[in-house]
Amino acid sequence: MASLEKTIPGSGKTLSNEAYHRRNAWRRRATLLLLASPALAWFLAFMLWPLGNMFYISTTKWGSINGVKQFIFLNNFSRMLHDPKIAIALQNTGTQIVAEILIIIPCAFMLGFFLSLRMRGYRILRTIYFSPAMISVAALAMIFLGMYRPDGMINTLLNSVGLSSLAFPWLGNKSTALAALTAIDVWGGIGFNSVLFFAALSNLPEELYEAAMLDGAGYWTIMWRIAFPLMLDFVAVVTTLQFLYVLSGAAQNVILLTGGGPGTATFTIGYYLYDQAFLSGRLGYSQAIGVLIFFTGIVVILLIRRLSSRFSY
Amino acid sequence: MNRKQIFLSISLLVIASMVLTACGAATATPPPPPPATEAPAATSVPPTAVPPTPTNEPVTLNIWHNWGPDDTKGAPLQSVFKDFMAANPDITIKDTVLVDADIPLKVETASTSKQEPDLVFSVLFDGVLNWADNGVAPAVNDYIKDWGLDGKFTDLALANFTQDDGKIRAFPLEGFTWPIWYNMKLFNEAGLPIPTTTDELIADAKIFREKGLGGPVIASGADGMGGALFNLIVQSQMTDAETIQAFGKGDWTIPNAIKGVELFVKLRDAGVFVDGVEGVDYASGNTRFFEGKVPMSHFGSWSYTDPAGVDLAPDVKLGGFPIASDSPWKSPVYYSGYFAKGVFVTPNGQAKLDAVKRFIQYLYQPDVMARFVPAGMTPPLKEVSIDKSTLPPLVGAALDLPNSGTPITTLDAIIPPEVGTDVGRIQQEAFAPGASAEKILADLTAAYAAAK
Amino acid sequence: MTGLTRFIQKIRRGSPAFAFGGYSFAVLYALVIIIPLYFVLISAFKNNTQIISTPLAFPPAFNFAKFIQAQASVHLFHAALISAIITVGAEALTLILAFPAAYAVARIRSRLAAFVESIFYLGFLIPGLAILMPIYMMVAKSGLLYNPIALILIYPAFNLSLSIILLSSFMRKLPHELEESAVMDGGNILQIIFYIFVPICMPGIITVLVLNFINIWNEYLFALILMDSDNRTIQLALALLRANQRTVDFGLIAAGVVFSMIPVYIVFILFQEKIMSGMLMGAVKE
Repeated sequence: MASLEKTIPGSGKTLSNEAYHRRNAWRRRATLLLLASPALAWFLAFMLWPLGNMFYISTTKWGSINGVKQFIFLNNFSRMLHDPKIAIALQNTGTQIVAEILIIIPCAFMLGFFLSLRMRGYRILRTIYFSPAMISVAALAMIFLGMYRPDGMINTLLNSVGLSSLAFPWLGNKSTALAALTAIDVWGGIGFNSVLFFAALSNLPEELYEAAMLDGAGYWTIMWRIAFPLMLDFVAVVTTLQFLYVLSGAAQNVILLTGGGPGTATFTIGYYLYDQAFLSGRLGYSQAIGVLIFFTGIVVILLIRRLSSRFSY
Repeated sequence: MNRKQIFLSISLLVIASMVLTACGAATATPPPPPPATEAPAATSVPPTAVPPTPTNEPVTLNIWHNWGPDDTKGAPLQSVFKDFMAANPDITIKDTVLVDADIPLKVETASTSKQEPDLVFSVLFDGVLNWADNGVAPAVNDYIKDWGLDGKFTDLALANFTQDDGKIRAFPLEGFTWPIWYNMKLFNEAGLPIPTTTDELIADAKIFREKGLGGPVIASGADGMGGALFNLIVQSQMTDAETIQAFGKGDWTIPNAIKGVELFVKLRDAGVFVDGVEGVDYASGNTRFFEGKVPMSHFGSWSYTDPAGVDLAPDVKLGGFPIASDSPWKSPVYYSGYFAKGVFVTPNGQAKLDAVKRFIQYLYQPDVMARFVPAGMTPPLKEVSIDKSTLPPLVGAALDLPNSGTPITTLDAIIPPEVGTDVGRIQQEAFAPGASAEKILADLTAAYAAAK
Repeated sequence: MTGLTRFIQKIRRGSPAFAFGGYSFAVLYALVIIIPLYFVLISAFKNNTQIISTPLAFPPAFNFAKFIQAQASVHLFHAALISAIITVGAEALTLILAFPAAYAVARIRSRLAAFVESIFYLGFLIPGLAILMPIYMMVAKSGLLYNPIALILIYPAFNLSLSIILLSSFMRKLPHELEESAVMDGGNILQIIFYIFVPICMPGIITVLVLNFINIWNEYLFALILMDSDNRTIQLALALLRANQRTVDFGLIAAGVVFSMIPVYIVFILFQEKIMSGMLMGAVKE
């Protein structure tokens, strides 16, 4: 029924095909903007404007909210180049990111795959796995404080089974502090991401697995050779989310538990931003760190996308 | 959506938002200068409360502080508020309890939109040090003069709150002492007297460890309270001027500063601190000492009447920290000062100056101040009569501290705010075994240098 | 579901080693999650000596003293009420803003839609810490400081990105005949959205509601700066509980933690199935 003329429903008018589409396109755009404009306005006001503000303040020297702003152009950024703490902070954050992604993604994928097989009890396991995601940062920090304290649960248990030599002051010891904080993220992260993988994997057609099994493949092979490659896009999403979390969200654990110490063991880039803004009275520099975090985020996200598109079918 | 689109959209948005902000920010004005103080009103204040002339309109005074119901000074403060309001029916006090650490930031951010409280009870440290200069809490020199408080404060109290340029930042409120607490029960069992020199302390540490008690000194290595012990030990080797050089200006090449850090490392390596001290936090340290398990700890006067320590109090002796033989000080040292709390007046408070005046004059009467003494506070006034027999044991013992030790000043107003958190982290690292004196000194030097 | 049952049977017959290994790993990890939570739960009923000496032992009695103490110390109930009010308001606002936008992005084909969607993607990149100060200044200037309405207004902005992306990817899966038949009947856009899409997207909406609830209930940093003690949220009350401590009383903190987590767990358990089905229907896919 290809016709060169289209009738506009509701009215009796007719237009040429081209004109119809053009007018339709404009109507569509208008509708789109109308529907999306409240959300866009909100977003502009509370996310984009403050973001721009961040860029602006990063070019100033500003001591405290009540102090006077001094425009110093890119001085904060040149300062960053010579600042040894930036390197340390990036290194700590980088360590956390790599450790968390390398541990969480494979474990979560395996557990998610296992869940998706819907063996007995999978529902209970799923509920348990998702539950850490409900706990607020403050509450989580309290829970792990009770575990990590020198007289906390972990050490008490170690002592009672005779492993007192392993009873470190987890948060106070330079070698264990960062690992201890990372463990908090991994603890909940595996569970949360496994449920996400479960949902994504459940969309795969069963025939896929059946066909593989007919060829004599075992689960392990199916999991890694079939399911995983198909999930690469999703893996990219999950990796991106985890990366973004560590970049700026993980700082709250540092704030609540270690203050960046001991020494600079848990001094991460997100914490550095908080420290400069709220503890050390250098708002301009802290926003410059914010700019650094922002661009780092963009670069890595693009990288992840590149990698996943290169490796997926 | 391809990469080019992403890149374009991000850049467009970034630029757009920057332009928006720059336009908005260009119209932002600097904070207004503090209003001129009122002309002097009534004359000097009589020692007992006199009903003042009530004004016509009711006024509400907003006061922010951290002396909540869990604090030993919470109850006395509420009674002061109650009695003041009874005597001044036209003034209502609305007080808000906040977490201590939140107060400076919240006051500052409130101040930018002129919504700050009228009076703030705050510790003097970090950003608070700048309040007189940046207008958050203008200087109170004139008020002290005009409200009859001149000469009523102790010299040290005023000195602690006076800036280099003469501005007095706030009304000093809480004087504190911060001695070493000795659990005499444990010392007597071990047959040891209180150590007054570091050599004695090291010897005592060995004996305590052999008895299975572990290192004798507990400190919260994980947070600022332990850091104060680090400071105390390092300071015990320096004169006041040298302290300002090192902790204030960041010059750690002074011989005595190096000696101070080396002394700390020597004590640590000799096992003077409990094992795992770098992970002990304030609450843990408190608990372990109050349970009677640890011979020595470092608590301030705010803990003298802590309900958790009531059972132990009779066995506790207060004193300074042992000094080395080449220390410039004559006897064990302990911290004493008035930084623990000051009453700051904000521009909003200045707008209600009459009510503020009446409250301050009421608060700073000797018998009103005396209400806080049993809670462990040293009043900042010269004439406060204290009947020792009515005081809780440790509060009374603290009055004798000058007899056995030398008070020195805390570093709250000396360490620059920009380097405060770095120093805190270095202190925590210093408590862990393995940190050498050279490394600590190098870290300190780098921290201060980076802050410039 | 017969295909699936057959499949499962095959698995069970096919590879007991995998099932064994899988279960071991799965159960081990489940224990790793449960133990700390169990520890906190029972600590809320113990005193400090008991917690330190026998951390994992069941409490001798169900002593609610710590809960009462926590309530007296930081007014947990009032804080929970404030959090609840903020949550309801912010959720409603988020949905009102996000749903039409998600529809627009998912169902209206144009390059503009892709552009709009990419704007919302940007939301994930913005570090909350960095925009804390500017938002504070904005709220202060508008006079809404210390008013829960401020949080009701700003939380939706933070949750828009996730909500729109979830909802739109959900909507994309739906067949186009939905709109075409409505247009045939002469309906306008709003009618289409309301009467057709909302009911169909219920699982997705619920997913979004639950995820946002978690984010709002658990948020700490902005609540700290924008609220005062009369309008404390539950997380602020929890933090205050710890800051107020002079001596270790982990039981008190545990009581506060347990109390703050109850509403979230209740919501989660109630809506578990809906969330899972929402996610399964493709809400969670790029």
